[in-house]
Amino acid sequence: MSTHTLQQLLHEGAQALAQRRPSPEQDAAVLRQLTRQLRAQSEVQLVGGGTLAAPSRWLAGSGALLTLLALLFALSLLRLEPVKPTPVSSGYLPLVSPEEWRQARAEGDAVWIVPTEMPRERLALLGLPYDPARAGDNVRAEVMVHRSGQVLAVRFVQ
Amino acid sequence: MQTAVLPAMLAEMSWLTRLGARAALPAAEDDSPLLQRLAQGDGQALARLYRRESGAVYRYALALAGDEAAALDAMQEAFSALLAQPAGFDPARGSLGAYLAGIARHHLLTQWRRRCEPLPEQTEDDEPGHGASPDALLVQAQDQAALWQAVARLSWNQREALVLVDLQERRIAEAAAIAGVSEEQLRQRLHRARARLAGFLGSTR
Repeated sequence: MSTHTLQQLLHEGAQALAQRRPSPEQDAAVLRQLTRQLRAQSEVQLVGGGTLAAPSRWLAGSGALLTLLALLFALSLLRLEPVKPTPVSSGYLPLVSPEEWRQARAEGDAVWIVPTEMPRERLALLGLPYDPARAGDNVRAEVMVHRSGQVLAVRFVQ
Repeated sequence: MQTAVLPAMLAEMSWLTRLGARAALPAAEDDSPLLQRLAQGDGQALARLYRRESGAVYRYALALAGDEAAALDAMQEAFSALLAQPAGFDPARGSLGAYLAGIARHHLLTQWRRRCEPLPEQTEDDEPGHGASPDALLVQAQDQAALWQAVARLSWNQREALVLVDLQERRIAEAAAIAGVSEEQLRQRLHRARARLAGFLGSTR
């Protein structure tokens, strides 16, 4: 009986798979849809006067986040030392417009880093992948709060 | 004679390159200028990223789901999520392709669970691993359809490891990042997947 090594068979499979891709019509349809989404997002930014650079579902999520964090901020205000703003490359996701973020950093204002926990499903509101099976679990986060009380950014801690 | 041996040699080199010590790789392309343009609503940046990354994401989803419509849907979802939150991609944690594949994977898993279909689950992960190298596992000659049917019988975890490393020829580190496990875990899943696959395909070893 004729035999192959599994390696040979998988190599042939890999070559066959490498030839697969959506049809040109499918590619065009997907790209059209994505372009529409991109355009709609740009329009939302313009309508919002450039103050918020994110889709509406994200805004709803950050609104709820703000309410939760206002309380946390008030509780921790007395015991936390102010620190300088942390650069965005340290893993913080800005929750304000790019202009506000740049302004906060440029002014060098004091901010507070508030440790907190939030449901894992909140990751989805920020556009991050998460495991729905663990949606009810909490994930540790650090929130950057301006001394005016405005929440500037959030970072998730492993 | 030499021409008959060459493809097998090339295949062997490919496996060694992925699993063994690797030479230094060329620096990954810096995506930040393109992503910056994307965040500013630049349609050309979108088209360029789509052309560059969509094929691999589609093939990954297709090999996992075994269904073209589901693969197309997952691929679109991945790009849609990138548009909605470009800052979600952190180049320090992997390539843009791996990030998009991770979103497609998440989408497929969500759809799978939504349909309430039992996920071919992780019980096999408790089985002892087989250390046999794939070039030592002999199987009966099969056509490609039989191979894909056998792949579909693997558990999700094992199928994913096999698809990422053996069928998409990704590096172990990148595959582990997409699957969200350590490199060691991914290797174990891969060994088990190959052993089970050989069993399904009528191992003669």
